[in-house]
Amino acid sequence: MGIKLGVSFYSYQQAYYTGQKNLEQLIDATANVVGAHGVELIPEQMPVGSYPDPSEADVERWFAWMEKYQTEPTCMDSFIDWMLYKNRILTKREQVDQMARDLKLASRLGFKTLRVLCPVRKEIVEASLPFAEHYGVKMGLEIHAPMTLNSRWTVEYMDMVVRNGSRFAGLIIDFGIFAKRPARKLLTNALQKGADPHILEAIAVACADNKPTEFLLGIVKEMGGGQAETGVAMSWARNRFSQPDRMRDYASYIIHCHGKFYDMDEQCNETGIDYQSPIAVLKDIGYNGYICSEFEGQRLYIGAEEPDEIEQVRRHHVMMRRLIG
Amino acid sequence: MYEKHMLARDDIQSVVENGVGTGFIVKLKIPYYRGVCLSLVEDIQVRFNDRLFTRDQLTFSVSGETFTFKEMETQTTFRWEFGEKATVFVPLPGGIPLGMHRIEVTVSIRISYMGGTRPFTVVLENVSPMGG
Repeated sequence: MGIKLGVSFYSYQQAYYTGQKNLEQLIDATANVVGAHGVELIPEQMPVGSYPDPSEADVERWFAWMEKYQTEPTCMDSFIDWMLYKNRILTKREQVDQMARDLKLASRLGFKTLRVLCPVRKEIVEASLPFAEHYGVKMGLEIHAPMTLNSRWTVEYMDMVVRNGSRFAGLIIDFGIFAKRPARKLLTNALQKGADPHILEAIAVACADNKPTEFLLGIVKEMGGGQAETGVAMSWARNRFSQPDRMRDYASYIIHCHGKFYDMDEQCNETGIDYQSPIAVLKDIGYNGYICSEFEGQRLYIGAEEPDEIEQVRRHHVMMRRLIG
Repeated sequence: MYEKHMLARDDIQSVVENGVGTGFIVKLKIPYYRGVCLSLVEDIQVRFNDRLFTRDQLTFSVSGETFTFKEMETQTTFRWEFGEKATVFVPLPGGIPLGMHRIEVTVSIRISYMGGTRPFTVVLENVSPMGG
């Protein structure tokens, strides 16, 4: 057993958006370039046939790809569009209907877990438990920055899960909550815009020290920085560092992880997020689910340069394999 | 990503009916990381040089069906998928005149988890559209 590795196809969004790769080609790259078995999908991004009701032929083709490339479905990412209509917010019942729709699709496509976006209310998850049990798919609330493992939202959600005693609701950890410094690419972009490297380093040190945005902006002001330095400080406004050790409190409820990353360097190190300590904790608590790489650095490529998403994911897996041992 | 890839120069084309230019179309990809049903497309605006065209003047076509923006408000089955080109028709009697033009398109999608809309604007300068 032990930790298993996969890829969230969110990572490949640009290759798909621009038409360079289709879904099957991305499964192929996951298996044969990255060397991973787990496939995580946002069906509203890369539909299997059509969303939310693929044909039987679409579903058969999906499983044929899983077989052909020796991959397996891990987690399916769901959205609840509570603002579906212009004139009102969906009722609780309507939101649960959307969850049930996605649980059903996940079950048809062989996904074992469903990613629930972090702002979805615990009441919706609680009312969806019978559907999750019916379809045999676990729901996991994603703990994603600016949320932390200590946020009231997380704690109250977990109270609900424990009270229900159901194994069909748990947590999905997004490694973005372990960010320690701005991604290298963000800093090099700022340098190209004329930022002062000393100010950027001072910001990075303060980030690692978990200082609030006001403090970072204070550094920029004090050291005479301008727009480029302010941009880097502001990019950190939504980051809140969680202590990896805090995962121990929720050990048996962690059902999936997103290996969020922004920029892998040539030596296969993530340039801004701590992976070493969280993976050590996950190993220590006997986590045997998936970590699926989630590359989110596409928007850091400005000008003519384009990201090589598959290469970034490949490097990410080299790092994770090294850390898992 | 979207500024570079949501709208290509070739995707702005004049529309000519019975030899008369009636306007132009803009083929657009969604500036959001997933597809949405049409009711979530809150607004689209097209600015052609100094002329602004708003949602009540435009139509939106996807998967071979055409809707007004008013009709789209209740349309929850048709989807604008990620990476798929939707066609927005802009009425401009006479079609696009010869010469270079500036085209600006703003798309606003209602994003539930952000609690509102996030307008995204793309601008193409020196566009000289081909006849359709």
